[in-house]
Amino acid sequence: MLILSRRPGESISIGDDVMVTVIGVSGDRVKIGIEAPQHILILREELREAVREENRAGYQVTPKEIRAAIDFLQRLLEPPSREPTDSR
Amino acid sequence: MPHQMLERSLELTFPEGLVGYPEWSRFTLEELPDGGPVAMLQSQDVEEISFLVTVPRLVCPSYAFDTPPSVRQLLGLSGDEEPAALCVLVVRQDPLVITANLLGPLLYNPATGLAYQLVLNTSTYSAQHPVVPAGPR
Repeated sequence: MLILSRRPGESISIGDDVMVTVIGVSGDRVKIGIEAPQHILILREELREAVREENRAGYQVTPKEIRAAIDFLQRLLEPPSREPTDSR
Repeated sequence: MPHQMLERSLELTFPEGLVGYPEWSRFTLEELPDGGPVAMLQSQDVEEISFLVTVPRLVCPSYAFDTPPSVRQLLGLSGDEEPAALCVLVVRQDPLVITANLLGPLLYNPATGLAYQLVLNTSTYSAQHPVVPAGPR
């Protein structure tokens, strides 16, 4: 890992398109500004990690789990009288 | 009915794999016998890999998110077409708890079968949204 020291207001460029700027430091929090093309998705790493963890937890299903999931979800389809929604 | 939104035996290709598992790219979305709103996302590469999935709005009626332009492009969506969405269900035993991953929806284009797991850039939705059945158990 490349480690650089920067002061507030200073930047790091990554390739031609990405610029990371330290906006400010307050206690143990660092405020960072990122300029990048729209096609680059920028995420807090813990969100990605949470999704990865659920993929890991969910990729092996047993018949018992299938039964339990169907049982739970089927009940959501029953009353109260809610109009069906689409998948979006 | 919401469960009819699940396509029958649709092949889905995730060109970038799933989050954390870039090699998991080819799946089939399969109906389950008497599965109602629950379907199985079965890996075409590794038989042991399969997920239970459902339609997110079934477990969270207000569920909504924006699809980034780059993802729309990857899925081959044109104009104002919106992707279909699924969420992964995780079943935990003792006590029995079922959660839905609303933070990382599986988006796909039903016309092309192209799919992408998006990580939402928000704290609004949980990766472990509890699924609570209506009525007494």
